[in-house]
Formats: sequence, structure tokens, C-alpha cells
Amino acid sequence: MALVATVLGLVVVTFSMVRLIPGNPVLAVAGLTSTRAERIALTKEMGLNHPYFVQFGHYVNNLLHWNLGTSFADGQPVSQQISQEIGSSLVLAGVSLALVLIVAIPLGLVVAALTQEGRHPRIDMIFTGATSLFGSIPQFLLATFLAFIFAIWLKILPVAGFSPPVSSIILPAVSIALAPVAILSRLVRIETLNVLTQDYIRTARGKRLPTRIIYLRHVLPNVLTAALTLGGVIFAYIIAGAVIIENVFNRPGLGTGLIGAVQQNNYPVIQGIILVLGLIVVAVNVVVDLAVGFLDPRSLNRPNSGAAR
Amino acid sequence: MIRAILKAPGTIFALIVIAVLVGTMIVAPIVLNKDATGLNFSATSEGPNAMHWLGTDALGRDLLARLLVATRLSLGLAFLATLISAVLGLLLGGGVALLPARIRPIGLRFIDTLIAFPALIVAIFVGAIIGAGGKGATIGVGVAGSFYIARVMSALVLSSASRDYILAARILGVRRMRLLLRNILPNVADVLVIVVALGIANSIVFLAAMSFLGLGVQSPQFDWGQLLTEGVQQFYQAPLSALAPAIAIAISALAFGFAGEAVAKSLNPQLWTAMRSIKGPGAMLGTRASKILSQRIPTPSDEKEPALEVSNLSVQIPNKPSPIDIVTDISFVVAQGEMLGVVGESGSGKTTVANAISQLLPYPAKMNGTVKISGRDISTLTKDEFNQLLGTNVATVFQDPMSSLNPALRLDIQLTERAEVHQHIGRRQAREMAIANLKEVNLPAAEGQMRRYPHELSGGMRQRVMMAMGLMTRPALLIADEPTTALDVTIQAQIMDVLKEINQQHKMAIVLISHNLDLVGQNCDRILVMYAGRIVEELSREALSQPLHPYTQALLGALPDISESPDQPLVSIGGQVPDISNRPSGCAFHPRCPMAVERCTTEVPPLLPRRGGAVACWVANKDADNESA
Amino acid sequence: MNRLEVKDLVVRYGTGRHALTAVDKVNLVVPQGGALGVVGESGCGKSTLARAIMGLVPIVSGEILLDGVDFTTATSRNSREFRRRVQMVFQDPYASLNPRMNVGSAISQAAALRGVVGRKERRAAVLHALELVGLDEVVLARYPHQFSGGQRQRIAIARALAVQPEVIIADEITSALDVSVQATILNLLKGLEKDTGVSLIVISHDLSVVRYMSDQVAVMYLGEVVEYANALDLFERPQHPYTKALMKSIPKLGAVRQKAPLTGDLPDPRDPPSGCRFHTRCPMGPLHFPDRTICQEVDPQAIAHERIHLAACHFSAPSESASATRSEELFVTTKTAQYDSKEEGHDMESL
Repeated sequence: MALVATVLGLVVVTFSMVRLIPGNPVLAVAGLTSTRAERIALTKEMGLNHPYFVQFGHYVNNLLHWNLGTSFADGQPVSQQISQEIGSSLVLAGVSLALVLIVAIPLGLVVAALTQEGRHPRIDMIFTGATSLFGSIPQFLLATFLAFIFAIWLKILPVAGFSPPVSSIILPAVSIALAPVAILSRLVRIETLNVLTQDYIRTARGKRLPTRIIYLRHVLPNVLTAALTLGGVIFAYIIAGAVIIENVFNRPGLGTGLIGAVQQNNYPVIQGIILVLGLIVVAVNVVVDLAVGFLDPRSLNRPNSGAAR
Repeated sequence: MIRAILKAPGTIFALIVIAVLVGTMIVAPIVLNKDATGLNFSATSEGPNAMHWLGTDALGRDLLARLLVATRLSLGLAFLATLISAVLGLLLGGGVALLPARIRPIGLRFIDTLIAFPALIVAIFVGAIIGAGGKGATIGVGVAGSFYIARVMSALVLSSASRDYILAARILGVRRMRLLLRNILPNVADVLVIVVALGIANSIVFLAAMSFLGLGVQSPQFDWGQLLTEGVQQFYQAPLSALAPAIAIAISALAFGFAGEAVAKSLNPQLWTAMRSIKGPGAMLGTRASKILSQRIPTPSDEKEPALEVSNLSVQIPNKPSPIDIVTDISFVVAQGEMLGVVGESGSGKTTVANAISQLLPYPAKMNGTVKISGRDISTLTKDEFNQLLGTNVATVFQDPMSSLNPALRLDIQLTERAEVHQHIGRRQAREMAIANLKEVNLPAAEGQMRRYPHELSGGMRQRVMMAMGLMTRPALLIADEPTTALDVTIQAQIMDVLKEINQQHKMAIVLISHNLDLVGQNCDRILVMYAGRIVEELSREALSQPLHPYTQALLGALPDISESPDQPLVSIGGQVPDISNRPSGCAFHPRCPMAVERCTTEVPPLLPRRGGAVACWVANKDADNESA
Repeated sequence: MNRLEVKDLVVRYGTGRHALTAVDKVNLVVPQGGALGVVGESGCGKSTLARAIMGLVPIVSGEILLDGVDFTTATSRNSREFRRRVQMVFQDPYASLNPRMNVGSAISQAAALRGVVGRKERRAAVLHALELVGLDEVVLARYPHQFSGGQRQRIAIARALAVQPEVIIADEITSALDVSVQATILNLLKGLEKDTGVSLIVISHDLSVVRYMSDQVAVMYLGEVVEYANALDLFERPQHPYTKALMKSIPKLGAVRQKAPLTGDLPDPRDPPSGCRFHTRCPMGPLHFPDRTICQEVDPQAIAHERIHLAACHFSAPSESASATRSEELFVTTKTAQYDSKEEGHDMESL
């Protein structure tokens, strides 16, 4: 299945990373001043003296035993570092995601209901303008602006670290969530408008059903399936955002871990974190696919009885 | 095309900004280099002042100068990254699209998987491999951006390749390369332009992010991202040193983004407007015409209330300078249990009449005139009474069975909700009614079908479900708008059977709307013929073979008849049906009418009773004067 | 002399159990200078047939002959020579013209196929084609969206004509047009047939259109030809129960209302009924005559050549006229509720 292929691809790519680095990795790690003996020892230690496939085999074997290597910086097992950092990253991502869903979907629905068929063109303009604007502001910029306004100028929210736990997550979460909210609410609106023009909504209106029932029973299910297909993309966006925002707001997590590792050429850590992030993305996409399949009966591909071309 | 682009207001602004940016990019480093890089320890971390408009940084360098000089790297690398994205994306996307059909889905799946990964992470990954610095960051961002372009490219090429006009080009022997260049690319080019513009905007942002994280350009080189990092370090003392580069990044990204969107809007207006634009002034159909009241057409008499009574119905769309009339002066009566056919071609307004009666007109359309259902004038009703009356007394069946039912809901709820809401019947009872109705419309295995979804049923079956749905509240009136047009002729016959059954069993009045004169002529008691928004003739079924109005006559003659000899050429009517916004003055049919006289071009003929029906034609009615004389 | 011949043509999509055999051993002949009508409802394979002939869809087996010369391989039908001699006009006038190409360029591409070189010569060829369809040179610089549906079809026909083909396949070309415009197009095509001697394949779901346009008619159902005769004979004395049902289903102005002759829906083409594909709905089959099990077991295609009009039915009249009167008794259907013998009377008498 495609899933297996993806995971496999991910593993191969992260593994190959070390091979792809221009120049001699051993040299990069050991430094120019190392002696020959040191370099030989390091080569052995890094396993670079074996042929490619053997190394790959070792790598996969290690992975299956949850061994992601050892950090160059502090000698800690990578897996340990990751398990320390992953908690706060997941919390941040989770809060951001929740924020996105709770705000964007109802917002999109309401605006669509108001602006259907070309009504209230002014609301249309304001909404489109606002979402364009907020949707294109990069998260780290937004974080900067928000930090400036709320932490420095108004001094009502903390700007760094983890305490106090609730209020310190507000700025980071909002910075991450704002752009996806803009994009998702726009999508929800477009989808809702699309659904509203469908014949089956006309049928429902023809039955003179109360508005509430039309939106909740007839419109919403059709909109959700479309919104869900974007779910994977949104989550990817949130993860990328979390990586940056953690660095902006100084919240130690996978994000700070990754950037730190890159700056130090700490390959095992880089490999490990990228691999874990990749796996999370794949997992979320699988869940989204399943959810879509569950919600949209058509995608289950039941053969049509008597429906000919 | 270029003119259209320039017309959108945001575009001009965006283009100006872009021009300024590009100018700065070229000029600034030449002029301001010294100010930007010269260290000056006597003026460190100053706020904005006369000498340094934006203040200075920790090493005393003028911030404004640094900002402007940084433009070159920020924009230049972004352009480069976008170029990489575009080339890689085109190769990848185009390559996948040209793969043999069996392997292609794998290729597409592959691209989809690539897109799933966050672009920034991919960029960081690639950058880490190549090494920190401008080169690594640019290549990283370029690669990350190429996936999306590949996706768009492959989708575009594939969708155009199956269009009929590409097939036509293929059978004209157009070679593959030429096919791609001359036939596919122009249709795809506008989307590519937008994608590239957005790509630039994204690249600017991503590169800045990379630099911000320390993975982009390294000191002593500097771009906006670097400036941002430096600025953040002295955020408290001199916030401007961080805000300035942040604003610069935001503005340039927005400018390119808006430019891209504006191009999209002007090249593909359907993407952005809900309504079709209607050009030109509304056709004034003559004030005299609107003053002529159409008389009530005598109908087969009925003591009871007619199921439907329409008087002086007209529907308009507001427009500048004057509203556009879609239908005008529509009056007719449908007795209980009667079947009325409404026949017309495109632009005749027959569907609008159906929508007006069932009160489902699209938004800006306004209705004038009176509609009475089961004797009650709907304009006099309160909102609740209105919903109650229409919900129970009027049922509709539309043309496209494939889309009239909600694909996300099971059939049982779609059938029962009408009765539940308006007649306050419990779910159980409603279900039983629904099953009974399904049986009545001859849907096989009715009980099992309740739990199914619409897509599991064929077109004919769905139409039956629609009719069963209508039957739930035993309405007095059923409006069927082209109910069989999308169905095969043998299925059509079955559906018409059901309609006739319902009509006779339940004494339900039916208004059958169709472009098919034969269908209407065989099944209906009376027929209305519409042209360009007006009723031009009304006749009984028997009289249909001898119509009086020249349009009806021509319509009759244009139909190929299976029992007539094919040696007789079909009557063809020159010209075409007039556009809504451009209807001829006087009688709308006059440019195509073989019998037209002077009067027809200036005055709209009134609908006058003739022979148990009615005709709106100066020439045909002139004979009437002679008849009655 | 036959212009185009199709022999035992099979077109299949997909493989294995879910394969869809869209065209199943179809045999057709297009007379020189004449018109063959192919009629059937959705899923009968008539459009696939057209595309297969044009080389747009691969053929599994069978032969296609043009003037007796074999053109069955995909490369031969994609060749310049074949394309020069067989052209097609599509159903949707809004999709068959490239929205970014003006009329002049679109038709010019066709002239190029014919081998016309030089700007002046091309222009002349384009104008000539336009003249044949009743359009003049003002349309050259215009784009498709500036024309109505009927005009676009005329442009599409001009494009096909510019190649000066020997055969034109008209695939539902009037289905998307208003009745009044349809007449113009049909008259036009008929006139062209007479004037230029081009052969036509007219594909339509509309029997009356096929009747008006064709010299010979093939009726298709679920990928097979179930009846094949010259037009006059077919419409006066239809043999196959499906053809009869089709003709009965067509609404006729002012005629007495009859009950729909067929019940049930079209079977799934991916899983056609065994034996005779029509047996699940046939008024003369096992549905109404339980002892006619042969319909479920043996595909009447095998014995069609023994029947009048090549009707693929076990119970339609065999072609020896001697036994015709005897076998009339075979399929008198007064027993069925569907068929009142009085209503059937017209058909029966004309046999």
C-alpha cells in the first residue's frame, strides 16, 4: 500500500541524508584538527566503513529497537532527547489545531450564509480582504508583531518560556493558528457557497424546511468532507509553524531541538527529529483519509446498480 | 487581456510596489553600501532620528540603509528559489502527466505524498544537507516549492488533455509537441502565472524564515530575515529594528500575492463571481406592452378552487440602468387534477416560471404579480403560513436526478423530513408513509432502499424517489421541470407512467415543463408555449396539431417525425433564440417569423382568447377578427 | 462499394472481473455516399464505437476497413492518412472548440492536415469550408464564446469538412441544441451528404433524428447490435423487441397514451445478463414466458444472421420468407398484460 511506501521512503531519505552531505562527514564532525587515528576511530564508530546496504540495515534495525542514534553534542540517546521534547510540541500543535477548527468552521459557515447569491457584497469584501491579509502573514512575523503588541507594549502576556502554563501558550498558539484560520475559513466559505448552489439544497428549500435543519443536516455534512481533505495540509502547516514559533518564543521542544541540531551539524538528532516529524505527518494524513472515507459514502466506491454510462 | 488585468484596482497598487522593490533591489546596494555596512560605534542602537530615519543597530549601522540594501538578497534569492521551484515542478508535473496511463496514478500519488510534508521542514532538511548559508537555503526553498507546482502542473495538463477540443485536435493529426504548445499551454498559462507569483511571495517568506532561524544567509551577508533576528535581539530597546524588516517582508509578500490574485480574477472571472454578469441595458419591452393587460384565459370550468392561479406574473433582475425582464405578463390557471404543459426552448423563461411558482427564485430576482395556490394568495401569508402552504401543497421534481438528492444523507431522512416538519408526524409513521409512497412510484424493494444513499440508485430510480418525496404531504400541485430530459427514452416512458398515475390517483395538478413538444403534447391536457419570456400560445391537446402561432407551427415542423417520410426537409427557423438582455422590440419572434408585418416590430401582441385557447400574434389574431365578423 | 466496414469489433476497458466490454463483436457497414445511423440508449456503446473507429480508444479485436484496406492497428488509425479520410464532430459544442483559438486558426489546423500549404491557400480552404456551412468570413477572427451553440456546431462541422474526409462521424451532434436549431444542423448535414458525397455515421439516442438522417440503421443495446436493416424497413417493420419497445417509448404528439413497454433499469454494463442481454426486461422473454429459458442461456448474436434485419432474438422472424407466416404465431403476445393486442395490432399487421 501507499502508506508503506511512504514510510519506507521517509526512512531511506533520512538515512541518506548523511551520505548526501557534500564533503566528508567524518571531517565535518571531527574537525580539521583531528588526527588520522581519531578520524579512523570515528569512522568506525559512525559505522561509515561498512557498505551502504549494511549501514542501512543497521539503521533500520536500530529504528525498530527505538534506537535513533546518539547525539553528537551531549552523547545522549536521540530517542531520549526526542521523548523529552515531543510533549510540549504536541501540546502546542494540539492547542493550535483546536483553535483553528473551533474558529474557522463556524466562521466560514456564517459568512457563507450571509454572502450567498451575491448578498451583502460588503461583507464579502471585508472577509476576503481580511483572510487574504491574515492568510499571507508568515507565522514568525505575526509572532513578532503580536509579541510586540501584547508582551512589550501592552505587557499583558508573557513572551517566553512555559510559565504561567495557560497564558504563555496563547501567543504562540495564536501565531500558529491565525493563518490556517484565515485559509480554512475561506475554504469553508467557498465550499458552503458551492453546496448552497447545489440542486439538493434547492430541493430542501422547496420542502420549506426550517433554516436550522437545512444548514445542519443538509449543508454541514457536505462541507465537512471537503474541509477535511484540507485537514492534512493544515496539520502540516501547524507542525511547520510549531517548529518556528518554538524558536521565537523560546519554548523548548522538537522545534528548538531541530534548529539547534542543524546549527551544530548534529546529524543523528536531525535525522531523528525529521523522521519523527515525518511519521507524525503520515499518521495524521492516514487518519484524515479514513475520516473522509467514513463521512463520504461515495468514496467507498460501491458499485452502482444499473447506472450505465 | 492586459487591459483587464490593469483594471482591477488592487493590481495597480501591487504593481507599483513591485516596481519599487525591484528598483531598490538594483540600486540600493550600489548607493548605500557604505552606510549599510560601515561600523560606527558612536551611534549604536539609536532610535529613529534625523540622521538615521529608522535608527541604528547594535553596531551603529544605519537601519534604513541596511533594510534597503538587504532587498537585493531577499528578493534575488526568492526569485532564484522560485525559478528552481518552477523548473523542477514543471519537469516533475509534466513528466508525470505524460507517463503512460498505467503508471500515472502512482506518479500522482507520489506527488501528493510529497506535498503532505510541511514545506518548511523539507526546506530545512535540504538546507541542512547542503550546509547553512544562502545557497543551501535557496535550494531548500526551491525544492520545497516545486512539489506544489508539480501538482498543479500535472492536474492542469491532465484535465486539458481529456477535453473535447484536445481530442478534436488529435484527430486533426496535430502532433504531440504542437498539441502541448499551441493547444494546451494557452489554456493553462494563466494559472501558471498565478502559481509563479504566489511562489515568489512564498519564497520571500520562507527564505526570511530560514535566515531568521539562522539557516539562511550568514554574516556578514544580510537579508531581511537576518535583520529580523538582529532586531529581535534588541527588541526591548529598539523595537523598530525588528518591526522594520518584518514589515518589509510582509509588504513584498503581499504585493506579489495580490498581483497574482488580481491576474487570476481578471483572466478567469467565473472563479470569483457568484452570478453571471449581464451586459448591456435591460431590453425595454415597450411601455405600451406593459400597459396591455392580458385577459384571463377561459379554462375548462371547475367549480372548485383551481390548484394554481397565476396572474400578471413577471420576474425581473435588478440591473443598471434598468432591470432586465426575464418573464412578463404570465397568466394562467391550473385546475385541480389537471395536467398543464409548458413548452419552450432555452431563454423562453419556462424554468423561471417554475421557480416563481414554487418560490425558489435565485437571489436578486424579483417577482411581481399574483400567485395563488389552492386559492390562497401567497403574498398575503405570514412567514409560517407560507412555509406551511408551500411545504405541504407544492411539490417539485427537477431535471437532474443525479444532483437533486443530498449525497451525504440516506434516503429515509430525505423522504420523511417534509412530513415530519410540516405535518408534525412522528418518525415512525413518516417512514411507513415513505415506504408506501415508494411502492406507489414503482420503486422496487422499497423497504430496503430506505437505508441507501442516492449514489447507489440509477437516474430513473432517483426521479421516482423525488416523486415519492413530493407525495408525502399529498400536495395539490406538482411542478415537474424537465423531469425526464436526463433519462433514457425507455426510462422516460416509465417515469411518465408514474406521473400520470399520480395525476389520476391523487387528483394532483401537474405543471410539466419541457422543451420536448411531443412529450408535452402526448401527456398534458393543455399546453402553454413560451418564447422569450412570454406566453405566445395556449392550446388544448387536441388543437396542438393545428397551432395558430407561427412559432408553434415552426416548432412542430422542426421536429423530425418517426412516422413521416424523411424526404421532407425539416422546417428550420433561421436565427437563434434572443439573449435575455437583448430581446427584439415588439413581438420577440419577429426577426425569425415568416409572417411578420410592420406592427410586429413595434408593438407586443396581446394574448387573446382563440378557439378555446389563446394566441399572441398580430397576424394570427387578425384572422380572428375576420372569423368573428 | 462500402466506404467503411467494421468487423467483429471488440472494445474493452479494464481487465479481469470488472472489465467493461463497451463494444462486443459489432459488425457495421457504411455505404459510400450514404448514412449509417447508430441508435441506442446510454451504455449501449455507440459513442465508444465512434471513438474506437477514430482511434481515440484502443481496440481489443476485430477489424476496421476503409475502402477495403485494413486500418485496424492503432498506428494506422492515428496516421495522417486515416485522419485525412475519417473525421468526427462531437456532441458538446461548448467543449469541442478550443476557447483560446479563433475560428480561423481552428479550421486552418484542419486544412493543414489535408496538406494545404501557404497562407493564401489555407485561407481559401477555410473560407470554402465555412461557406459550405453557411458562415462567412467575419467569423474568422472571432472566438468560440462569441457564438451560439448551433453556430459552434456549424464551425465544428466546417472544421471536419476542411479536411475533405470521406466519412464524417456525427456523435450526438444535436443533443445539446434547441429544437429549432437542431433542424438547421440536420438539414445542413443532409445537404452536405448529397453535395459532397461524404458518407455519414449518425449516432444518436433520438430515433427520429436517426430516421431522418439514415439510409441504414443499427440498433445497439449493451454493446451489441440487436437489429440492423435499412431505415425504411426498420421503422416500418421492427423485428427486435428492444427496437419495438424503443419506438413505443417515444412520446408522440396527440397519440393515445400507452403504458411504458419496458420495466426495470438498464443492467450494469460491467456485469451484463447471461445469454441474451435484453432478457431481463424483454416483453417476449422469460419474464413473461417462463419457458423461454433459451434467452437466459444462449446469446442470440449467434443466430442473428438467420433472422430478418439480423435481429438478435430467438423469437423474431427467420429470414426465409416461407417460414415467416408460421413464426408469427410464435411471438403473438396477447398473453402479456403489457401488450394489449389491439395496440400491438399496428405492428403485427405490417408484418
